[in-house]
Amino acid sequence: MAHTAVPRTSPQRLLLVGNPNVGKSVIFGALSKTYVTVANYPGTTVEVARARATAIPGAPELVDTPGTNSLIPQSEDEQVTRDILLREPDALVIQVGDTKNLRRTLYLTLQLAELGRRQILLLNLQDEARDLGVRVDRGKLEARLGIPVLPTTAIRGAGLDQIPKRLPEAAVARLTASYPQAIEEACQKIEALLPAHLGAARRGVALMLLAEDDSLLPWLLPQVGEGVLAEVGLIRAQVERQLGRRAAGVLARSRFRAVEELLKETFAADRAAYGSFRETLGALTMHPVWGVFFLALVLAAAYLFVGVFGAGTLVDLIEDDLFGKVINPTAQRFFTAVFGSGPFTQLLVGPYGVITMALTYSLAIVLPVVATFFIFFGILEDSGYLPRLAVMLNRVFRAMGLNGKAVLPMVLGLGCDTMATLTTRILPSKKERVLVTLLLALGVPCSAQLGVILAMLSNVSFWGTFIWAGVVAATLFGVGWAAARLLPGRSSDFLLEIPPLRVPQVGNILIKTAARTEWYLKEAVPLFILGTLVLFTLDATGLLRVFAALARPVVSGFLGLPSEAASSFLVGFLRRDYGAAGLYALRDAGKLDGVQAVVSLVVITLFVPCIANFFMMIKERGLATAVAMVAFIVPFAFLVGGILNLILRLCGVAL
Amino acid sequence: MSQDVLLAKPPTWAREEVLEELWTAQEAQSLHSISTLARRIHAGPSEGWGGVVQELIEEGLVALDGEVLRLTPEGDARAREVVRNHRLAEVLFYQVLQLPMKDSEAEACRLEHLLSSEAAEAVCTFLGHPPVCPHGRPIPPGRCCQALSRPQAPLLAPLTHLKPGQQAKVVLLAPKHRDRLEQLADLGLTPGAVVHFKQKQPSVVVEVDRTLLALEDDIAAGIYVRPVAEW
Repeated sequence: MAHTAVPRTSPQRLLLVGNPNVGKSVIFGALSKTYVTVANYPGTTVEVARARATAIPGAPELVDTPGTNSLIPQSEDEQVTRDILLREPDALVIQVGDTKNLRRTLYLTLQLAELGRRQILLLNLQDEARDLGVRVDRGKLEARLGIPVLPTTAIRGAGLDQIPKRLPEAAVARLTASYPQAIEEACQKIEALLPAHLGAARRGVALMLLAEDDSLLPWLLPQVGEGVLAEVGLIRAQVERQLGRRAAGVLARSRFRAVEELLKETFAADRAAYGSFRETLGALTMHPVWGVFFLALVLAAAYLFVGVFGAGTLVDLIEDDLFGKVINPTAQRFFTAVFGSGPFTQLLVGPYGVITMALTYSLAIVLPVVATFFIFFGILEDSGYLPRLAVMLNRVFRAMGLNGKAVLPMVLGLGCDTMATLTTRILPSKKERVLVTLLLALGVPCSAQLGVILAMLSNVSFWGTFIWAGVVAATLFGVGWAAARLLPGRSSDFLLEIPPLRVPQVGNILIKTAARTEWYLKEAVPLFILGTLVLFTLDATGLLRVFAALARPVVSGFLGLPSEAASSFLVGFLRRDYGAAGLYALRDAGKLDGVQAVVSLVVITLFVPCIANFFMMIKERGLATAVAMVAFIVPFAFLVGGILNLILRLCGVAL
Repeated sequence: MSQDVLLAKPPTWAREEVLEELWTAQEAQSLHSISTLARRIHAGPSEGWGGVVQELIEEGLVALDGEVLRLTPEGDARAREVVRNHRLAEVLFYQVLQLPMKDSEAEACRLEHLLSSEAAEAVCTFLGHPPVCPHGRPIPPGRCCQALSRPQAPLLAPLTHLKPGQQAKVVLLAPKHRDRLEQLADLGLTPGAVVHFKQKQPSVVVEVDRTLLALEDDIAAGIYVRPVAEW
């Protein structure tokens, strides 16, 4: 390799820092092009990606920090970025900014300068800025700031080649706010109290302390001790008395004023270029009337792609043709020939076999559905439609004690509830995370289950489908409404940035889909196998029949279903969709009438999704909460089904 | 106005209270005699207000017309200023800072004596020259209002009162929770920022610095703006 000849210098670590939605991750991908390790930042649920930046000489480690608007953190994400900056004092910063919103970009630059960070600045999203008639005097900005300022359009790779060339010129930006005298004096007093090894970061840290940023304390306390913090508190109290207002507000205003000065010289926007097609379409997707139409269009597209193509065409191809005609018969012949037809062969290729059930199920039925869903979800995500959906649905979600931000996990739940439970991490308050976890487990059918349910409903009447959907939706709202009032805590504010609509990049979507599918295979397939082993054991020991007999009074008496349905519900404990598949078989065999079909589907939809989801609930919410949720959901699902059965029977409804 | 306020405060306050009361009565097409004024102010003759009226008469601000007390032209001008201060302060505390009505009135009763005419003009301009107080009574116009020959700009209003397509400048933020202030500031919603109101339904959407933000009604209601002319 060519660069073995280059003398090895210890490559400096690089941090990508920027506001949310400015394209950091695309730049991260372009600079690294190699294995990415994504791990939770210690002690948090925020994921931070790290990789070798192969595009830069010496291949230094590159860290993709979560998007942030300020170094005074307002969320766990922002706190992680601030902490990484403090804990990596020597790393160079590559700041990524949205050219359209230079104000917010420079607001962050100013704070980085106060921390004494050496940086370069990428003015990304040049294409969008051009469309909006935004002009930035890059040369002047570079001269004023004294750092390299590079124009980039990361999704097209434009301008990225300049990064390695200009990186050695990284410097502390010359951008300072002039604070009131009282603040300056207090800042100097605090700086003098801070340990010398903080070096150039001392001013920044002192200002953070003035802004009463308590999230700083776990990092600072071991370095300075209680006494210093008490003194800082006194200094702050004094300056706030002098100013008659909170120092944090004064700091923010002074910073914006300094940024405003620089903007006057370097930023121009031409309003005439406004009203582009992109913007008009973007507005229509949030329009009270057109937005609903647009939503219907998205749903129809989802149905065609995931429901018809994924769950239909692909599943037929893989399940019937590949597994049904090739893999399973071959495996059955092979294992029977080698090991006879004893328990070991049964374990692998019997009715509850690892290959014939677990692998067939996870790879042939669920994988195509989940993969097509992830592709569709990736397109929605990258196009910028999801935040618009949040705008459309905020009020609806409010009724359930949530807000529009919960759209993402709830929609993802239609793909895979397990993964959706994992993404509840993006919700700011604990109350919301618990609520969404509960609602996902209770009533959001995943794509695999939805496929089976829709197939079964297709031969019940339209009213049957209507009753099923109505009962599930009403239960979801009712439980959400009640739980929102019972759970302690405050729901977070709905304050959401809406990125412009963007044409998704095929490469980016494929990478994301691959990563999510890989995740699905790693997390879910072992659980499918475990679940199958449990079923196999229960079946082999005869316990499966005992459980079915025990459940008969409820199933036959209360729900009015044939006793065979009991085993479907039992399997439903492991996989809600597999339970649905059992019901489908019953219906197919003519053992369920219309009412029984609808009642049994309501019960199975409201069941706990699957063992994998239950484990994820334990992992994310803790054992006690997870068990409490399941202990509520299972009897509740039977209760709703039983009441529905009673009502339908009393009213003499035939479906 | 209760007697302790009348007597515990600087003497000019007591005189201004009497002037204000007489002006308000005249506005309502009624007049005060010494005894109805006493009832209105809830004070007996022994408590010093009689002396206050006496002083006002001596200074030529109030004239005794038989039983009836009338404001002289100078008295009327002075009283009008106090009433104007009072009602401007009510708008400020009640409509903008959203204090309860009772507190707003109490604060206005104090502030009316303290505002200089320059400060009152600044408050009036800041509030967009409001024509009426929260009770619906007219606010006597000041010089600053009369200088405006064309129709006046609407009141300083919460963001939620804008119409889609309107532009406005953020004047002040009065969020319910402290954290919100910093969160809004970080997103560029600071006093002086120009917002472009995009839509109200199904959620409020505004554009600030070429970035679209969706906000809860509750948050938008705490952002006070003054509409500006179209671009």
